[in-house]
Amino acid sequence: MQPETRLTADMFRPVTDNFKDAETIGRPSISYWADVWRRLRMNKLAMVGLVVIILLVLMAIIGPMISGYTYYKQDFTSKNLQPSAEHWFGTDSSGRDMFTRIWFGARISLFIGVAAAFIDFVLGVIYGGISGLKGGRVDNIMMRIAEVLYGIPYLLMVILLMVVMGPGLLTIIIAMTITGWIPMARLVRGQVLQLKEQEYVHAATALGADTKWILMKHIIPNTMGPILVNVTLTVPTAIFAEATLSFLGLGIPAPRASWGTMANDALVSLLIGNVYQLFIPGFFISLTMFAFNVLGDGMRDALDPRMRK
Amino acid sequence: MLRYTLQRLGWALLTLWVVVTLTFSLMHLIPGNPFAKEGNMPPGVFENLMKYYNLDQPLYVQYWLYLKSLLALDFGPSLKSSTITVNDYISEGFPVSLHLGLQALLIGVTLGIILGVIAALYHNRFPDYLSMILAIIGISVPNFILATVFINYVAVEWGWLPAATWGTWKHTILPSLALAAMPMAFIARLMRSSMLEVLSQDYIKTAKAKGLARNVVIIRHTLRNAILPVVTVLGIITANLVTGSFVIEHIFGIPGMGEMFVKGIFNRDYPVILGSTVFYSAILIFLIFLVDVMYTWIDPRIKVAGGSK
Amino acid sequence: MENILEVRDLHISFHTYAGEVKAVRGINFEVKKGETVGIVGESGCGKSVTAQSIMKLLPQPPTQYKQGSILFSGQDLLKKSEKEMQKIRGNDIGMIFQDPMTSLNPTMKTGRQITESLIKHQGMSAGEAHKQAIELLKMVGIPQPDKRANQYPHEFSGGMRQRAMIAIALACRPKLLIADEPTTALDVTIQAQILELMKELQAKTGTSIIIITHDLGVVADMCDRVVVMYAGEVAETGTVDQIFYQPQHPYTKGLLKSVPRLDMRRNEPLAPIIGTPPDLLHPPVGCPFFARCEYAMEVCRSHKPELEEMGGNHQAACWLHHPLASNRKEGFAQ
Repeated sequence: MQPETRLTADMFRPVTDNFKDAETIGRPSISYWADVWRRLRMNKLAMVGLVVIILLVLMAIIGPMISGYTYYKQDFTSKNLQPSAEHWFGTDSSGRDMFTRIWFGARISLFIGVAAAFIDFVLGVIYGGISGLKGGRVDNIMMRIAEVLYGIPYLLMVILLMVVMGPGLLTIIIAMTITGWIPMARLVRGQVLQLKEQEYVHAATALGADTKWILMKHIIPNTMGPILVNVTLTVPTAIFAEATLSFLGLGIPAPRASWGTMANDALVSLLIGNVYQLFIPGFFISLTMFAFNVLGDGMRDALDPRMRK
Repeated sequence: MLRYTLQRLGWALLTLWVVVTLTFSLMHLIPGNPFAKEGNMPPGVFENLMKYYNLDQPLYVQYWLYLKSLLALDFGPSLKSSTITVNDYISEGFPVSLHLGLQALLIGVTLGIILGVIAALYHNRFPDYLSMILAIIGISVPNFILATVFINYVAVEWGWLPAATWGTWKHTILPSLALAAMPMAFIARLMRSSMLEVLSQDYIKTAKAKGLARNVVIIRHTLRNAILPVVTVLGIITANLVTGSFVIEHIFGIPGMGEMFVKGIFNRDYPVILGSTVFYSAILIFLIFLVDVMYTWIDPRIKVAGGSK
Repeated sequence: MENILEVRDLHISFHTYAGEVKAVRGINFEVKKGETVGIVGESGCGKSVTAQSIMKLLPQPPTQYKQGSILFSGQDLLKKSEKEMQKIRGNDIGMIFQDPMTSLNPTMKTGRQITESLIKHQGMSAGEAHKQAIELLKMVGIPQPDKRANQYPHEFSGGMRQRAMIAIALACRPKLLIADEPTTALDVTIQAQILELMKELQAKTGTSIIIITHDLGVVADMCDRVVVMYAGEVAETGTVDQIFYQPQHPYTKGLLKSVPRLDMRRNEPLAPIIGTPPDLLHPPVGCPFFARCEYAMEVCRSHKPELEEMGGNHQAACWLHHPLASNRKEGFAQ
């Protein structure tokens, strides 16, 4: 495209430094997790979810303290008050301040969600890890057991357990993790098997390959990603299950409350038109479910190497 | 094919046996005897309990006789009255619950697939966002909130449809929709990612390279392959519908099996809880078995593999 | 002889989050009737994009045909509507893909996958098409074709699947067959069979073939003419003999030297081309091969060489052929 006339003999002298460019050319390489984070950050919905979660956690910590009411103080002179400057979220049928109760409930609901996710994670990693690492017969038997347990209708068993053990925070968490760990165990086992394969591969090709590089580039991203996503998505499942249980009268005993028990309590008030008593806890359950779900989805998309462009 | 079916049936029976044994053990783990004679029991109830659970026999005999009566499809007595059994609840409530459940399943699966397909075909465009917003609302908003919103606005405020109870087809609309929301959202998301996955497959390129019209490529080559994952989760969806029906029937006052189960929980009617749990588990386990077998018809690759997961 | 296909000044870009990737940057080539043309180059050089653009199979967006034309039997495919393209795909142009394991629909009987285009383009009834599909399976050397037609792809081996793919691609006797790395995913022995089959069928039907490959062995075996692509441009083009015996571009020479040959001395080392191709997000201003070229000159850094005629329709884009580079060229010719 350049006119020939501008070419001079001098320009046809050889160059030797051109090979240096060969190594430096190309776009700057981004580390895997930085890349994941970049993609997650571009996902606006996931970021909204993350911000909402952070706000919910913050409010769960400070919320019960800022209104000046306690979650258990009943005041029968101010029952069923609509939201106002005095009671930001109104009061319930026992005259308790809903704002304080909501954030106290947030502690319980979030705690249940996170605790269930954490226990599922620990049990799943141990069971799945042993199964995958031992392999062979042990793996076969362990996975068959898991398959049978997984076939058991989950919430039915939870309900039965709750009936047997009596309501309470601990029983809810135990009941919920009793079958909840199985998907995690399957996932971890799959990842471990893959990891073992990878080790064979680089044992064979290790002559020049850098183990650390393979570990950083392949194994950790592939293993951590799906597990992290699974943990994130377990939280809303547990919160929802807790809400359902509470709604069936199997929740946290009064005066403590989770969002689920508040919604259940509100059913009575619904008949006298106090919709807000149901909608406020309902809104926060929905918001939390939404936030964790979109964050989990966003993480899954961000981690999926096929999405890498 | 036959071998696979028998194998799956074996697993189903094993799972059912585990459930029955677990429920039996749990009932005997309850602190204090749940079947103890109490003063306020209606006449004849304790005699029924004795007769069904053989409480005067050693535990292993009790267990054996319990299994035998279950095999005879006798799900046991109720604490409420000497003349009402769990079988009565089943014959009375189950047809209603089945109607509600099937209607919700149909709505959920159909709408879910349609939404998912639309989302995938208009990937990252307005219909995709709209479908996914609907889906996210569907998984975020608990069914009891949705149900009360429906009752409060659609039925009470606007008076379009009856608010509660069961009777004409109009009564079925709101509870079915409230129950279908979660499965619909779940399937829509699954169908979307599954469609996107299939659309990126090489054989779709092959189909396009044959000169087939876009609609033909989608209907003939994409849908069938994309629907496979949806079939595999039908079991989970149904389990979800069953637990959802407890809540929905309770809120709408529908005289189904779920409502009777919930009443059993509130009244701590242990024999009813026990009998219903076993009955529900049997239904769900059987459905999962059916789904497994159905899958082999749809996916020709399974037949030879003999049930790989 | 008449040209079945003429690609003129074709530019294709992909729009990604990072910017515009200029995957194909002004390429020209033609395919004559009954001829086999090989397009060779490393992964990412734009050869597959070129092949798929002829069928207009690349999704738009992100793909954008920036400029140029693809003349098929004298008609510009880039100006055709999707509907018009559907009449051409599978009927006038057939395509075979790289991986036969994933290129067939797993839930549709193989015979049915062949009859689809027969019914669509030739207006056959289902029964006629099924008979024809069995004929086609027989033609591509699949034993017991009547039984095989009713089987699903997973019941076929890799080689058999690729034969079935060829049957699909050739079902309507297309004027042009595009084979995108048709043997890359296959065992060596199967590769040879598939190539033999393609040659045999070409002799029978007179189809023109474009083979996209990075395997020079396949080129030597199959092709009449070769287009060597580098970084979305044509580096060199000529007959197989010209390219193999008188390569005029350092990249072509490098490619040839990096392939093991039977006539090599025992200890003679292979000479790989060092470095990686340039990033097409920011293509270099000068010769794209500059950074990896052992004959590089100052001019290559800043000025892009044009394709020059070397004689006998043999063309190369390299400054070494400029009159001012005569002393450098001597070193290259050796």
